[in-house]
Amino acid sequence: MKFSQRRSRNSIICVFTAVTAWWVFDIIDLSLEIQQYYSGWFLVSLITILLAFYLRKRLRLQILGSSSSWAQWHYYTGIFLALIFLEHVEFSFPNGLVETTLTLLLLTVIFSGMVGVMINRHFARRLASLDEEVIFERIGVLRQQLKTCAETLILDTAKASNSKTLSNYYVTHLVHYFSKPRFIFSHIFGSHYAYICLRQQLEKQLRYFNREEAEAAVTLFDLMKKKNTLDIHTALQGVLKYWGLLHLPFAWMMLLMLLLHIILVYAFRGAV
Amino acid sequence: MVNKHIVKRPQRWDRPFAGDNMPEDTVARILSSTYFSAMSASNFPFSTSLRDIVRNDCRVRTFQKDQLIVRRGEYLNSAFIILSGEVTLVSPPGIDPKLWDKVETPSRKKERTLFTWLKKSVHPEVRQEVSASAASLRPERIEQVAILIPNLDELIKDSGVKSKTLSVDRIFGESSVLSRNEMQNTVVAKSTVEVLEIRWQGLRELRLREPVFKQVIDNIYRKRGLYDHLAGLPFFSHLSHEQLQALSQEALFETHGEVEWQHSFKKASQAAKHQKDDSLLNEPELMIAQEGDYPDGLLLLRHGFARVSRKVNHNDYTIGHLHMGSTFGLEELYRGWKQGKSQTLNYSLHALGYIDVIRIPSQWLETHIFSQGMEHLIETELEHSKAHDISDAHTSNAPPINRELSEFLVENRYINGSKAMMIDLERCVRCDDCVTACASAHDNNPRFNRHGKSHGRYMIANACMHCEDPVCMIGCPTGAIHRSQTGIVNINDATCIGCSTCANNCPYDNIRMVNIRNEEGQLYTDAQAKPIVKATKCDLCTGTGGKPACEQACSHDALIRIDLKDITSLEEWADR
Repeated sequence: MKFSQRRSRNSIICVFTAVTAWWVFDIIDLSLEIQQYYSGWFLVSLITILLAFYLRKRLRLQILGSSSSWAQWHYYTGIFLALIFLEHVEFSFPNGLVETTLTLLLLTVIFSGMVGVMINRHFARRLASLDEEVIFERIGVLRQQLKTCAETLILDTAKASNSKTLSNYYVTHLVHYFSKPRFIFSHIFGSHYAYICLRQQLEKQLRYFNREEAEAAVTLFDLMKKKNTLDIHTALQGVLKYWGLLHLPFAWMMLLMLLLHIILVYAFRGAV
Repeated sequence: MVNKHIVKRPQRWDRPFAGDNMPEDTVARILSSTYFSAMSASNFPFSTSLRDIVRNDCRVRTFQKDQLIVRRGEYLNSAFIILSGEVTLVSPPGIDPKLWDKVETPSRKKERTLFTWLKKSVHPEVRQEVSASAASLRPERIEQVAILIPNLDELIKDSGVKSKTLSVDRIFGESSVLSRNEMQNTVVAKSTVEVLEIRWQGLRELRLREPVFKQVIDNIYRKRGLYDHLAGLPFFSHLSHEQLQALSQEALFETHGEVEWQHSFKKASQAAKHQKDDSLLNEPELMIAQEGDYPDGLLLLRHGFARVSRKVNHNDYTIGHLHMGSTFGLEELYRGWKQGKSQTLNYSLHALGYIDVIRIPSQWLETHIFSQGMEHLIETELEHSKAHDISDAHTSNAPPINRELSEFLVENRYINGSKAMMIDLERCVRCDDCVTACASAHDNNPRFNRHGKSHGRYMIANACMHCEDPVCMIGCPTGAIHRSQTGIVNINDATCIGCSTCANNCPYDNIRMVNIRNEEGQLYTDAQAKPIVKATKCDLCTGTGGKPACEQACSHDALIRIDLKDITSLEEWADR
């Protein structure tokens, strides 16, 4: 099945099921029952399904089935949960400290989840378009190799050309560039402006270099380009790896708040 | 205090093929049999004596009447010589395979998998013992349940297939072993039969040291291979047994390229990488037929892979590939015959590694096929041969598998992989869930690297591809690396002596040598404090009863284990 077909099928099922659930909860409401009890526990069961995906990823047991199917369930259950939540709060923003906090946490989890899916799709494509594929854990080693390469080049050129112009420029403007990941935020947002500026600065210096230094500068451009690719990998792979740090802690906080919400609801049930 | 981590380094023949040591009278009996008595012990060095080969690389097996010995489609690691009794050898296309159950893959129960997961060690590559013991060896064919086919004669008669009886001193299974290909025949015991099973390592030594034996084996390989291949092709299905025999007399059996092609390919691959020139990958290829030449016969590929190319300006570009069962030159021969004027070849054909080719003379084709009104057969075959031709198969819609990708797969010889790990980089989020899942399923150490050559958005990761032609198996001294009956290339850890031959042979660098540890996490070493190593590679999670862990763990549908020569499946996957 094509992804577009799968997406359409799952979306239709999700919306249809949500509308049916709304209708059921409305009937419960009409029968003078408090639908929030039913929709609330239904939401808890949906959260359990969402949580199961997290456990599936950690358990890594083949008998649990394909992770891809679990992910699909996770995504669409998340959307479904948001729709049921609207019915639970009767399409209004809740008041009260606990309920407001719980709502804000839930919205953050849903929002971070959706952003995460978009990041996954978009950043993976951007990474695929780069010249080289790099393993995230190897970036540090490769950066160090590039730095060593650049420094060897500068030292050798300084000796061969008997000039300090390039080496002085390197020490002033490029040491920092080769030492650490640079322009991370620019790369996250897809901008190459900062890198282009740095490159242009070196290009402008070419007229002040002697022949050996100019030749070395050409090699330095290559090294800068490679370093830029590494920085893009650092930025994009870093976000891909760590966006979960936003999604998961909020999810756990929401669970704690949910527990408090349930306790309070049942503690003050007679007041309703 | 005993140092549990200091052990004796594993050696070849720590564990004889027969399991226990072969009794001396059995050894003497084998040595006095027809083939072995003609061999000279002086042809063998002291370290690999003939007696030692018989004792360690051979075993005697008995099959009851009507018992299935080997079946068509299985991969064998041994050849057989009949010691007593008779067998029926059923020629291709053979009898209906539904007669017996499908080949069973060993599967552990799911509870056991869970239990294993819960009690797994915290250290990587932990082994309870270093070398083989009877308990540690996995069950071999010998322990399997006997499959009986009591009505074989009736089945042969009903299905109209050809068969023959082989008696004492006849050999079978040699073709599958020598060509590292699947078995073409089914062999069933006609009476109670005793066979000598010689594993590949022993057979290799015997062929190497004994020229006469080598000639005998090679002749059988060529003669039977020729007949069986022709009989198995739908193109010749209308021919009678006699006609097929006459054809096999006229046809030529040719071999092209090096048997151990991996070395020249690795060299070319490294040169291409360093010089950033992929055309260097084609350098070790041997040309079999050249574009523009007149064809003198139809070429049938019996084993291996060939690249089909066309000259463009100063270089040639890859049109597609041919593999076992494919034909080359039919279109030109047929159109030439139809128009009464010979036509030159439209494409060139190059051997990718080692290939067996059968050449059918054009005169024979004209007499027995073209002039017999077999248009439908010819058209079907022409369509079939076009199936591997990327450029012709997709002229209308924008193809998801473009010519460049096809070229990349063929030139890098990835079409050899039957279960290659392909990653769609546009969907992969580099989460390494596949790697951790693999490590979790295999001694806390992944059996692949999420890295490898890539073309556009697709990467072929460094994971064992379970090749059609597994050259890694060449040279393994113990047979630890072997192909299961279903075609999966596995390493038997208990018999691996860590010699690294397989790792050096793998043209794709997909086998890794690892240091092994005891349960306390200490490295096993020999008396000289050198670590004991074992070869490891992807085993497709055999035994877990499901899909490979890597594929199961990918939440983003970015990873697949796929047969790279199957363009249709590849397209379906790419065009999602």
